[in-house]
Amino acid sequence: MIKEDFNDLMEKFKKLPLSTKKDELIKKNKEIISLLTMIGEKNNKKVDLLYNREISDLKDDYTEADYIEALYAYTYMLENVIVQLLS
Amino acid sequence: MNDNEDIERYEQRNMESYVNKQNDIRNEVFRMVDNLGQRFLNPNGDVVYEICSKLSRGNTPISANNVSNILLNFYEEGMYDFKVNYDKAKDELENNANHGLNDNFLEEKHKYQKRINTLFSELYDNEDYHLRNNQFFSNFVRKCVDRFSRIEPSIDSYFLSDLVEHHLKTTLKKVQDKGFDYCQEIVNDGKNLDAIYEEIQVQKSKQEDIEIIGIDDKPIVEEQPNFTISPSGDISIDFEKFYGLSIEEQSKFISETVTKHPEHSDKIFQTINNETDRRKKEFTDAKQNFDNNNGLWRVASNQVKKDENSQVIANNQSSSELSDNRRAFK
Repeated sequence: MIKEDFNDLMEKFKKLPLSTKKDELIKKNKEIISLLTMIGEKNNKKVDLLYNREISDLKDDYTEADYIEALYAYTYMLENVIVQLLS
Repeated sequence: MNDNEDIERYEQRNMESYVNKQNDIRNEVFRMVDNLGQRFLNPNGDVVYEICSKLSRGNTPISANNVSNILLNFYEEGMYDFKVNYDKAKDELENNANHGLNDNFLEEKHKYQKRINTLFSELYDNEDYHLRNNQFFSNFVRKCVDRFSRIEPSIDSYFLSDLVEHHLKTTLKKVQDKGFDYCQEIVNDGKNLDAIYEEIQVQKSKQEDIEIIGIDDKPIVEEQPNFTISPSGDISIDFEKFYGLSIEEQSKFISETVTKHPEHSDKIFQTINNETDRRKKEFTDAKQNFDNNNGLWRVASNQVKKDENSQVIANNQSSSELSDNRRAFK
């Protein structure tokens, strides 16, 4: 079931405009970070988020470099949340 | 010396310069044709490839616009006509069991040279622009420009585009006379440019003395999506290609299409917007389906339920999965 759902999701993702794909990627990172943070807090684990100013570069007219830098920052933020949950 | 004489001399100088320039191009073509020799044995692309290959090695001072001229003429006139003659010549060669450059073949080659000569004369004399907006030729021009601007990146693509367009305009009437099928055939031939370009890149990479700076800096220009308007005004766009383009290329495509069809601009925007909305909705539905059934959202929401009613384990399965989730972290 999960495989079929995932395949279906990827097929639909592939058909999205590139700008929407990029937005979805950032959004997915944010969602996971939020949910892991929430799960941590529900289990009495205080999670601090590793912010970086590159994240704030994602405005309407951001460049490809801005996007990659923000995505990189979000990925590290996600990793850091996991590290805190595991610690 | 009176004014008339001045004008006459001025025009004569202009004409000499003009003729010299055209002769240079023509001679360059002839020189190449001579050098190509038995490359004519295979007219399905090798001739063009050989020219491009030579150019890519930097053996000739010829510029990209000259390449455009030569290739366009090969495709529009020479290659097409030569293929007919080639088939005849090949039969004769095989019948004679002589696979070298025999007299028959050389004769064909000279005929071909004459055709090129005639074509160049006609090119610069013919000012008919009747097929200016022909969609098929637009595609072909774009392909040429895309490829040749990468062969010689220092040339501005708009400048190159103008040059290619200029030479196309002068031959379009001829194509118009020959009909749609011929036009389509040329466009189909144009597809070979992709393969030619790839081969050029391979050749370039093998040549140590080739200046490659700038070649790879050029972004690869995506092939444009097909766009058609039916007589009833229905718009059709190849969305698979459209959404595969970069954002800049998408904007360029929309801009060019709307410029070409200003009377349909609203419908073009509406068609693209509707398709974008449809795809976004499809994705949102698929994402919700995945998240609700398999994603982290389900684990989290079940966890919230569990906390809100700590006396009740909301769902044994979710609790178990959460434990699994935690174990995965350990």
